[in-house]
Amino acid sequence: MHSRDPLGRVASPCAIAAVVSTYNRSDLLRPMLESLTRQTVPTSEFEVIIVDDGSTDDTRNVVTSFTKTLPITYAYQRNAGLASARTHGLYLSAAPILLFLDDDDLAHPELLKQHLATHRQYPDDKYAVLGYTPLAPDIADDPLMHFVTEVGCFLFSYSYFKDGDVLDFEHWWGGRSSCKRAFLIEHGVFNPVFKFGCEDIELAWRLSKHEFRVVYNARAITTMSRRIDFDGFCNRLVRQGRSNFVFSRLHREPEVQRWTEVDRFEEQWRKIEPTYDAILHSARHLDRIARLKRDLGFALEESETALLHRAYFAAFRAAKLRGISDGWTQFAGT
Amino acid sequence: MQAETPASDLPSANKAALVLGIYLLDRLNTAEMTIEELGRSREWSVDQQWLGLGSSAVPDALAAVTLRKVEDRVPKFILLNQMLAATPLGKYDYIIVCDDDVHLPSGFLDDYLRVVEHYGLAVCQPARTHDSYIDHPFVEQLDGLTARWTQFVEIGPVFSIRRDAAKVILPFDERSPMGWGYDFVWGRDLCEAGLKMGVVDATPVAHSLRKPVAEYSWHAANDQMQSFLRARPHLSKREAFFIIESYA
Repeated sequence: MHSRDPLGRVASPCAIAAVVSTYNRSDLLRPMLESLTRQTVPTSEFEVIIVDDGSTDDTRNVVTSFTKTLPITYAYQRNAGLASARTHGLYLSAAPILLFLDDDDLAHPELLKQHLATHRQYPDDKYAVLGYTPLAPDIADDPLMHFVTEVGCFLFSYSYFKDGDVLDFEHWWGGRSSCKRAFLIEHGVFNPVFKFGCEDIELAWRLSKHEFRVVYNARAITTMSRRIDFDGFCNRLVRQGRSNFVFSRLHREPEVQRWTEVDRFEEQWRKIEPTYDAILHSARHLDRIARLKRDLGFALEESETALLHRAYFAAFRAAKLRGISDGWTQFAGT
Repeated sequence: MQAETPASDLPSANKAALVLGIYLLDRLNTAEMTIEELGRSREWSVDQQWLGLGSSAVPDALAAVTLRKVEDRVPKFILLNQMLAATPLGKYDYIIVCDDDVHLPSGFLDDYLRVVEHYGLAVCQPARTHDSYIDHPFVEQLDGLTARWTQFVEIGPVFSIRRDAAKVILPFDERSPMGWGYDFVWGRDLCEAGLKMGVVDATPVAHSLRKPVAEYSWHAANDQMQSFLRARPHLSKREAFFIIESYA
């Protein structure tokens, strides 16, 4: 952790800060913090910044319980969303490397060491690092979690690049990426308009104008520990879609229109909207059957899996389009 | 004055603020609205002193607070030094320096100074609204916060100086007459003096009427700043854009 003089100034910053924003997830935050106590990097070389985004649960107490084992700083803000919380966090640290983590992931003991190693290999401020996030063993066989990470790639999609690749702005995924603080200080911070979704890619897009690049380190591992259920995932995609729309209005370049999928949403949504509820109902029903079979020890047949995946894909695609449409409606009404 | 004295503990008769400002006579500005808003304070005895810069006549509505009209293009902080030199400052707890192109929220002065006093911020500024022209993202309003203890306060569009901090930063260093670079020097000087600086997020001001530095060459401003900073110990951007403590 940084050593500070009596006036609060940082005398000598530590090497890396793990910046975690959290909101009413103290049950997930505790194991997350426990995982940070097992880092191979000594505690003198890192700090943990917790930005509590207006939690009403016992988040503060959970963080306080780690003050003896972790170099931890707790900061509270009234609920303002992920982008504001992350910007708040980056300004609270003087560390040259900032690693933005999610509160529902678990850090591998070598996580900080691996991020630091890649930054030392790529010392130019423009280089950021993307880590790898597999699913925890207890959720890896969940049909939905498997689909969104390995098949449909609605959550992560590591399958099309490899360790050591240098990637573009689309790969600076929040919650598992680090960067040089100086680059953000010089070129931009998170846009507070984004309460959930796009805050990472939108910033990376702006940074890409200054040659921002993302190096993938598959040994910088955080494990996703939280299972997201069907309706939770649909809600998430609706919110993501709204943010996509905002992103598309802020930056009119073709790359952004393509990434946000806003350029062709109207025609697609027109076709989907009349059957939206039915699409979700059908996928929800198949999701339940798949879980029931798994819980009872039955494997899904190939045709059933194919059907389930088609249903998931249609539902999640529809949810995201709904979010984009919501954003459009809100925009047109202002 | 004690750093952490809550406003409510101070007798109201003792609470005095001096507003210093310069408005451009020949350009669209918000001086009238700003002066009216600052004059609405219920908790502070507010004196306002403004200069009109340009060739047009001083508007009637601003005559009462306008010390004089200046037709030559004299740099802002030279003029502010002249105003400060001509004013007995002893009775003022705070000096507020204000530009002529801001929109202040209703009740600004009372709300702003209440936070400034509560957190003991000797030199301070209101955050800029999200739709403002933003030179340094660090001073953009952080949603969810009331204020932050920082190592950086901008030279405008609005900032406040507590009586004890005036001894540290006044008179303004005329080696940088437009003020470029002060903000990176103040953070170091105030810290050395054991005084706190900060940004109040609860009362953001909109700075969107005129683009900053539009009146001047950016390169000239930057050269002036670099020259000034070579002569004065200062903080780097990385050091300056740092929150020591945040308050919600």
